Amino acid sequence: MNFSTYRTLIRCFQQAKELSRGIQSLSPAANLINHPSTSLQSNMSCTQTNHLLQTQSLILHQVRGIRKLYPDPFEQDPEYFILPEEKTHLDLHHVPELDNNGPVLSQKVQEAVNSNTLGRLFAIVYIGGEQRKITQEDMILVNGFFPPQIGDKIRLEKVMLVGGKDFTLFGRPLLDRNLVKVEATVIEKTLSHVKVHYTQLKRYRRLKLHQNRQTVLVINSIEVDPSSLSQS
Amino acid sequence: MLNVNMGSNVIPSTFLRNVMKNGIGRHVCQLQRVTLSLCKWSPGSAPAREFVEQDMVDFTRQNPGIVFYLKPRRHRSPVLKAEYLNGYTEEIDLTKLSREEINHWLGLLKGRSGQQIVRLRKDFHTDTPSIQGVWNPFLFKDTELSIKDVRDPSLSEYISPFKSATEKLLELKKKSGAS
Repeated sequence: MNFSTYRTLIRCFQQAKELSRGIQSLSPAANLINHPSTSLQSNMSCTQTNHLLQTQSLILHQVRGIRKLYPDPFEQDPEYFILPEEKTHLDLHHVPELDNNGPVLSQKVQEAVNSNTLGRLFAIVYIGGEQRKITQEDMILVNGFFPPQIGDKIRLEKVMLVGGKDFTLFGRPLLDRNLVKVEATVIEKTLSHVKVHYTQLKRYRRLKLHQNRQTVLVINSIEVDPSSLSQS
Repeated sequence: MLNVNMGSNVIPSTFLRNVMKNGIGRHVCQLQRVTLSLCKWSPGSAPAREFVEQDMVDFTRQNPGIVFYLKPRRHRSPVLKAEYLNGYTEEIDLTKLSREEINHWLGLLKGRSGQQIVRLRKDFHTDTPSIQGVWNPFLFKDTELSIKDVRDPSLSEYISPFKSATEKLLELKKKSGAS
């Protein structure tokens, strides 16, 4: 199977999935009859598309002639990865570790922000496949492909944690976009030093020289907006 | 600066540095001057000439802060020379490079900050390593530990990950007692 046929197959699969979803939305009662065992709404669409997924992967197996142990992520249903809202959204009223005093504590944080006693903040951002700890005026080096050019001001969106002297906010796994704002400037785009990959076997000798791309960022600001804490 | 106190067998290394605190307030492109020396006749300089005809004006328009010089160099391969704000110069021999490759190298020179490419020991730099205080093994531990003798048997006691039968029975007893 060449690449274009593979792509068409994927497209057909997506269309079929959308169609099945549409049918579900039109007649949820009929769907319930088909699958009386499933109780959750999110499970329903999964079961509907399950046999489609299997056929697709079966065809691929036939062509490749290999046996796969794990399904590829794109073959899985995207809804499989969707977490329930209670796991993605912070509900401060039900945090047993804080003795269910979440709202009070968040209010304290808000007061601290408003009274300008927050001090220097630090954050852990996910960038370049790594978790990096940063504060203001820090420099971090990102390895590999990174499209922004020098002088670009970017906002680091995947913030996993923000902390100050007296508080820490953990994301599960990421913090809300409205809660934190981390800004950085690209100051340098270079290559690394020459890395040597030398292999020597019997009657085989290779010298490979390699330089990978590197980007240096300066962190300009880390800001916390506590107003979104009180809403949740 | 390069670390001087190193053996001869070691790749020289530095730490990540920010020249002139660039980017904290305003960002300044560190590349100031580019000189392209090329021959107007020899075939070795043909891609460089192509570059001058097609891409050079675009580059200068996009980067008004960078001065671009052209210099004749008869019967030799073309050379790209970049000069940075900190006085560092870098020369790239453009022998057998195509027009696109010349563009790529120019883009690389523009992105650099005028520091030599050396092995970096750390991929970050921070002036404030810790904000909430440095972690130590006794953080959030019971203060009783500090006056405890090292030979105390309670410290070397085996803690089983599983519940023993007596513990389970005690739990059952507790539950039944509560209900």
